[in-house]
Amino acid sequence: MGRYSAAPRAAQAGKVTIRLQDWHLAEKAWGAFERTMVDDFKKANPNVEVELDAVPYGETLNKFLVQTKAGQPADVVYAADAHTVQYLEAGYILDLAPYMKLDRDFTADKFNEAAMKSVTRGDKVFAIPNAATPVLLVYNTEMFQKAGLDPNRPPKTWEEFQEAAIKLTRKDASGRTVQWGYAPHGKKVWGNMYRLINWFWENDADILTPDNKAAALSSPEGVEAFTFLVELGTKHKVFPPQATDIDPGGARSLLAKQQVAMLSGFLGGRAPVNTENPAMKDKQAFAPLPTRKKKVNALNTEYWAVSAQSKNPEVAVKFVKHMMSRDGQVKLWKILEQFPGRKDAATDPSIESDKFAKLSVAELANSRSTPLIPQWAQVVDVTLDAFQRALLGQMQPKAALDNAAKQIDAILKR
Amino acid sequence: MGILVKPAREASTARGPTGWSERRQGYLFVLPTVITLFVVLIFPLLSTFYWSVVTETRDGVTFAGLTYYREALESTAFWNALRNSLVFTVASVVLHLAVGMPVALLLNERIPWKTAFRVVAMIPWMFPTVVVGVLWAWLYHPQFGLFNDVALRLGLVRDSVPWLADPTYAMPAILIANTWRGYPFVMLILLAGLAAIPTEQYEAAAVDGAGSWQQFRHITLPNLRFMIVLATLLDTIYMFRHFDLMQVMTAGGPAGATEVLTTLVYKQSFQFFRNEYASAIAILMFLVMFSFSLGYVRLIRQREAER
Repeated sequence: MGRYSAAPRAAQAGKVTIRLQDWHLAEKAWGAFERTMVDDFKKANPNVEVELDAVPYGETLNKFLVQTKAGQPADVVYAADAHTVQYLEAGYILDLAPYMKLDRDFTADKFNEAAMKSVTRGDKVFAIPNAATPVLLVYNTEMFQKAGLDPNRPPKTWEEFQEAAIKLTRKDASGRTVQWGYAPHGKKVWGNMYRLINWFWENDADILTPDNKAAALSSPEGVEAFTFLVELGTKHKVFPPQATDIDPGGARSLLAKQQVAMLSGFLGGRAPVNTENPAMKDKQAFAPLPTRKKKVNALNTEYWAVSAQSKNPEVAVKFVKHMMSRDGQVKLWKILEQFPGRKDAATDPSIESDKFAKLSVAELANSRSTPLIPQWAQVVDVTLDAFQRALLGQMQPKAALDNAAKQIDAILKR
Repeated sequence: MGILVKPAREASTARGPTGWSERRQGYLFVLPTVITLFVVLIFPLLSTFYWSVVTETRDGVTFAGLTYYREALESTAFWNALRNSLVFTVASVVLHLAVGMPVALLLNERIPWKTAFRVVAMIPWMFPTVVVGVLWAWLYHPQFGLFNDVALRLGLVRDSVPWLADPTYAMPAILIANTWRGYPFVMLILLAGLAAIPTEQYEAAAVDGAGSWQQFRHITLPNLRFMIVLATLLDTIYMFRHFDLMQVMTAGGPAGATEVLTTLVYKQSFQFFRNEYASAIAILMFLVMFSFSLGYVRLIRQREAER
């Protein structure tokens, strides 16, 4: 890490070019937003050219790693939290702390604390959270009404949640299930861990020990939480039959097509559901996750980072500051409904006037980042594998967690 | 009569207009191919082997010996993936042959619109495998897929079947998709073999009173032997290293039921960033595939010797 830290140098004269790498550039709405922001930056900085590198999401991590090894990385990179930790641990991204100290509008306390904690090492800060969103309960208000539940009183406890999920699971006249209470997060993809881990945290359990050096998921509290979740599917049958194959996008699609009544998700998922089915516009509601012992939710964050090999670090940092300005963050919300990582943007009237955006702000106080350690992807894989095996009846929940704990300990010991 | 062909030794030392020997000229002509083969084949192989015996950290590269090979051979995930790879390979090859052979036989007959049927039979092979995976994943979808819809309407099932989310059905479901996608390859090879069978043999057999089955058994099959073995060997190599369908349709799930060596390598390398371990698995895969390839080389040599 040390050899990639750089004190701010004097601003360079003459035309400079920086390269921006972001998978969102390939998306219709987000890409258009970012290009507008880039154009605004270029107008304010006529000596700067910004090259756009729209890399597909699945390749973004590898491309940045390979290009960095080859000495030709993008100057500015947009990264999911999973990617950011890899860049950070490899020493590929710049310490931004010296630049933050120079600008009152860019200090660390301006941004979401939980998100900043994950990218801070000592007094070094390696990335800035662009979007930081808590996991919420997402539900269909019309289904609630039809099931005799009050849509203005979503379940607050696990027991209420179980009762609601059972009532919301409906069969047709032939006895076939046509609507399920909850879409679980069973596919082995990174995004599902944000949903699964809440069940552990809410029961005062965890996947890893506080020092991230050993597995903790097979504790009595962990087994209790896991068993509760698994039995929703195996005993109470409130999960769709393809539970082990549902990823976040698949769950949203089931909600959009009104096949499931509830799921765990983010506010940013509202727009895709409404786009897939405009009839969901007035039926989609959000609430805090039901809880048991603790009120907590997982925070999903995406970051801006600057390459440690950037030949124009000052300009690159300036660009990040531009994207992370209060105005830029408010635009991010207004245009894309992506929850800003900047705290003062969250007080904008456009957020204050949106009931569910205000809820997200409130829930940020209970947010916690998932452990961003290099082995986390393997831990996620093992944990979701345990969930799949328990759901499929291949293993009892406790046995599945014990098996997972052994594997996780072996992974962490390597 | 003079000597019409120079002996090999004399030919290799004979000099052409450039003054170079023919042997040297020959080497020059194959040099671009050798360089290309080295760049796309030998170098990546050596590089993969190198990365399988070292460990890279931020402080540099250290020699790891057989650490990662030991890890693979002691890993239940590796053996599960190897078993699934072998099951998938054998089942795919058998199914491709089982569908490809009758289709080839049919398309070899004098039927109206033969050319059009041949084109239609080739259609599955024209799709990129990723597209096939996405298409079939939707066909299998429990709520929105065609198969469940038809099965429910016909009363064949009471509830939607989670084809790709149930370990019992996931591999068979992928095999069906793979059979649809892959049979044209075998069909084409067999069609080429069928076209080469002299028609006189069938005419003579018909004169002797042989029926269709006897003609198939005693004329078609023996003449097609080489092509069948060739198709089987090549298909085995292709299926063993198959990746796309598995990754797109199930990503190796549920609970490892469709995890094959290729998806395991992909996961270790691109999701877990354990390039050294992934390289070790890749080399072990190469050793298995190399043994298949030796069979292919032996077959070709036998064929050439027969001629």
